[in-house]
Amino acid sequence: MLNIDQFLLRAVTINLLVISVSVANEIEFTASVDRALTSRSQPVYLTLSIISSESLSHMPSPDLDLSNFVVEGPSVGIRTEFVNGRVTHARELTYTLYGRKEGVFVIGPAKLQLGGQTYSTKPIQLVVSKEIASNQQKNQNGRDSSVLEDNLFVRVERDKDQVFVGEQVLLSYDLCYRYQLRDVGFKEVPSYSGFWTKDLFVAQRLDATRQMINGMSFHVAPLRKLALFPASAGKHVVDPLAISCSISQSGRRRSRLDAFSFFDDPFFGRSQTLIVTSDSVSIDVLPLPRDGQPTAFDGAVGSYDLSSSVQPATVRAGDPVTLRVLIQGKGNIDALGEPKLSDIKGVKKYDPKIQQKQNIDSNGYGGSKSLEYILIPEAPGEFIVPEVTFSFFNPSTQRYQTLATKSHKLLVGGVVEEESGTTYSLSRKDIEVVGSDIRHIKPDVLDLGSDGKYFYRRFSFWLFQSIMPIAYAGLYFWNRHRRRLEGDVAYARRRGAFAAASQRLKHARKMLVDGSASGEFYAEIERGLLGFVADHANRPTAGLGRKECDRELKSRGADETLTSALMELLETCEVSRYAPGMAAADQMKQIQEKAEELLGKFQKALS
Amino acid sequence: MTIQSLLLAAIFFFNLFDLASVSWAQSAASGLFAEANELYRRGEYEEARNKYLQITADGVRDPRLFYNLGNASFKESRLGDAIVWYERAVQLDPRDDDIRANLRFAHQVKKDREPSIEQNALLRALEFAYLFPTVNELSVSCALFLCAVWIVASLRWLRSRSNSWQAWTLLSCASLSILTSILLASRIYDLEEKKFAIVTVQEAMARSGPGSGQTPVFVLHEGTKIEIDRAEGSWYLIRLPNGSAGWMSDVSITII
Repeated sequence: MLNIDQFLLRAVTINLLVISVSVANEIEFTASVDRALTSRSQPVYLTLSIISSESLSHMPSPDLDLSNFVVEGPSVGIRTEFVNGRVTHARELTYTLYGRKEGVFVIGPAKLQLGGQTYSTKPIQLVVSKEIASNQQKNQNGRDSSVLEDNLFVRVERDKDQVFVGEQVLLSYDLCYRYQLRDVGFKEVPSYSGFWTKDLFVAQRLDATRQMINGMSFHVAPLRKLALFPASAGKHVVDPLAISCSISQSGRRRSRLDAFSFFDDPFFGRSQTLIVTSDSVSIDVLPLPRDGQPTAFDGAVGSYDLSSSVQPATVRAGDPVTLRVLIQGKGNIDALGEPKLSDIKGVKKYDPKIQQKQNIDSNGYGGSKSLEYILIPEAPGEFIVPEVTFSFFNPSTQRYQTLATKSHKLLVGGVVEEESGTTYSLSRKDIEVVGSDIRHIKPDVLDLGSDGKYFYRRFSFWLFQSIMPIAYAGLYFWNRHRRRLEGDVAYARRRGAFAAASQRLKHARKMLVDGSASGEFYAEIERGLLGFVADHANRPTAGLGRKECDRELKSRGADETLTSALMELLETCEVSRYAPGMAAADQMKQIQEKAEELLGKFQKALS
Repeated sequence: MTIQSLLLAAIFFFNLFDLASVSWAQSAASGLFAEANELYRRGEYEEARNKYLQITADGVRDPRLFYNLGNASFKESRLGDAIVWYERAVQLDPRDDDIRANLRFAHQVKKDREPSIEQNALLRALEFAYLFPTVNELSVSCALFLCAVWIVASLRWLRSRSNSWQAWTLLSCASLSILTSILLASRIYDLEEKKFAIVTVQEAMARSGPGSGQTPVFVLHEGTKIEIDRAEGSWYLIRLPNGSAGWMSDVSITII
């Protein structure tokens, strides 16, 4: 295996070396035709061949003017040849040409741009001629080409030679044949420049009828029928229409004996593709006459009828009425303008809704156009819908015509009061909103200036809120106190004890300042202190001695030292009260201060 | 006694406690207000707007002022600002027909469709009832009902014999005061805790984080109302009613 591989590798390497050494790239560019004489129905095969020593992956298409011919193709063929170790690559482009008209034509030179170089072929002369071609045809096949063209042609017919601008011309193409045909198709369709066209009929298949033409029986199949509307005045030429079809050789052979043989067999013999072209057609277009042209004329040509209707004729104010205007007839319906409807005072008019219907028949193109205007009377009353006028040029009479619809009466009711004799009328409707905007500003004010602080953010709010429960609690305790004073003597005495005792001590001090009798002073102190204890014990002051006082205080849990201090004070008072002579003012003051101090301490201890 | 006179009395009462003397400020603000209104009527909206803003700068917060300011902003085709001021006005006076109409109108004009959730009639009625009283009215009524509770309760103590009329009055006043307190607390919560803002630039980009380098998540247009969640520097985390959230710079929104 290894050996074979190595051998192959070597062989290829040697080959490559040979090729690369032997040639620089050479290109041959030639053109050839299969015959120099032909007829219009006979194809000529033009072959452009490019032969190069290197394989060219990209080949630009050659530059060649073939406008004198109907062209098919090109078909491309590629060949690679090895001759004595040399490789040639050939590329062949084959065009099929049919002469558009008879005459002498020069094909080429064809030009090819390749690798910065321009290659060109020699020009070829080609004669398209009925005579020579048919002779040659006869020589080759024993057939007469002129016989072929007599038996197969496209007939073009027009209904008028001379028309006005905008008038319709019917152009019909028929295929007339006496052979069995296959693969019939449109090859070239003229552009009809200068015309507005409307196809009336285009054949999908051959629907032939028999007709006698020049004493011979033909199949005649309509190919195409169209309406032409010239757009401008002058002489217009319609280019020929070309179709392609196949005809079998055997069929043709038999056709000489019996053109409509049922024994035609397309599988026998070769079939031949032919191009059949019609004649070109010239049409004279006259301008529309200037005389008598109505002002409302806007280019409509043909013959038309005009009618109108109003539905309903009686309505209430604000309800819609439909005015329908109908234009019917023959002519270029698509190009019709809208007839003018003048404004009606007190009636709202909307743009019309346009509907169009085509009507195609053997007489040509026509149809109808309906315009529906919506009219809305705004107030009750009687209205006249004015006539609608429409002008057109009628080519058959060669005159302008102006049609007008009849005017319609419109009764608008809706308000009953009008009939019963009220002098004014009302037509009520919803308030019409014509626009929207924000509302106007607030007027000037005098009390502007609040800082707008929420109450809950103010201290006073919470103060007020807290004052209420405090006041309530105060009221509650005051009330309870008051009740107890009323019903509880012991409570009342106890609550009043300190006040009463203080009163007496204050009185005693006053006596001290006034310099009253010392006995009275000491009695007042004693009464005050004993009264305080009696009030707390809820006992009569009179029967309360020092011992009872001591007991009562102890039972109330008073402090031992305080109690004994009080006892001592009371004793001093009693002794001093009955002692003769004037007591020293200093001592009296001392006792008074001590009594006040003790009273304060007891008040704290007992309450 | 109408609500208005009661409110006036309350304002007077609370202002007295605050010892705020407002009469001189009132005359100054009212004068400026009249001047601004005159400018507005003449169609000089820019100047009118500046005058109104001057009054607000003095600390005046009044629904009528905010409403007129909203109007002037709207006429100056500052839609976002107009909505901000209308919203502020409607907070102070939720029942004013003019304010509500203009706020509705401004919301219709704005570019973004309100992404709110459809509500049924009952919910709408409840919301309307909830927002019907102003916060101040709620405060006053709450205070009055509480006051009534204390008074009736003290009457029960002061008079030795209580009757059923007093008991019923006490009960109803107590329940009314509790209801108004709850409503007031909820409204105060809304005011203090929930912050809303309006987009005040033509087109604002919400981003995935606080910073202009973050990924854009959605685009809002002028006049759209959004809820503010929290702030970080000069960036706010905003939420839409449909739940989507994004960060927006404080230059593109204005807090109501």
